[in-house]
Amino acid sequence: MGELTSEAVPPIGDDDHVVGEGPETIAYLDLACPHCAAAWTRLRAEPIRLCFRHFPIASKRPRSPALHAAAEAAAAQAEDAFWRLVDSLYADLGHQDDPHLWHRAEELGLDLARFEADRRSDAVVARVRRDFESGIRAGVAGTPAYFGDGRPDSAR
Amino acid sequence: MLCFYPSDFSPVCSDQLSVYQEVLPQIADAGAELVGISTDGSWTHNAFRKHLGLEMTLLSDFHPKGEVSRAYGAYLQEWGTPNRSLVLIDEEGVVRWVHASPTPLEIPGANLIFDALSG
Repeated sequence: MGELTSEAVPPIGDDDHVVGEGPETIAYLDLACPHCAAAWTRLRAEPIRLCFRHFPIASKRPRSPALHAAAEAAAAQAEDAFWRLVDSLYADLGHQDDPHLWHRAEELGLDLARFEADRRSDAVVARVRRDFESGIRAGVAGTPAYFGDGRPDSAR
Repeated sequence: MLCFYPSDFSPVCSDQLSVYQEVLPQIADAGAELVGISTDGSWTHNAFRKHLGLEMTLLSDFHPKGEVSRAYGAYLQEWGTPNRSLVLIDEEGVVRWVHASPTPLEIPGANLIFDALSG
């Protein structure tokens, strides 16, 4: 065993979701978390290089896994769509059901059939779980959780 | 793995047990069982489990209040609840590892559970 034992937060990699320029901030976020939504506007406005990592807590927020899978499915078609979908979800936590996701995908100009297939794919589930487990190993115990310079940034 | 926590439905305890719920299969794979314990009553525990979809057993240290928590040195007199503590007990009933949070507001990451189980 040992795959969830303590380990430093992984540095930003090529396949991470990264936006902006400036000091690096790695954020473990839950797309259904109201605290994350409250922080999101500020995070997007800060002069930072922001790395988004998935941390869905399904038992607390049952729609979280679906929302994170949708974001990854959007990214499979266009990285910009990932960020626009995340912006959209955090701007309106009251609309999280599948029809709302289809509407958002259409608004983003995504191929809906591909979006539907991708968000249910094993690859997307594994990608989300990879982020989640890296957060667990780094000691993330709730969202939002931030890291800067490889260390927890509790002051943010 | 006994998980002492202060209170059902509190925001911090909800975060803690929700995150632990996400890794219950891996805890089982490691040959352990995670059991929560607080001074709440069994009816509150049932409601809390349903509310968060928790699958772990929650033990009630309700009466005499905190007796088990005190026996493990995990009772906070000033709070009237257990501290946030993890206790690993082996198959012979021997305590093998203990982690007590510096304050009840600090959640031990699930990584510490796996560190203890692999140690």
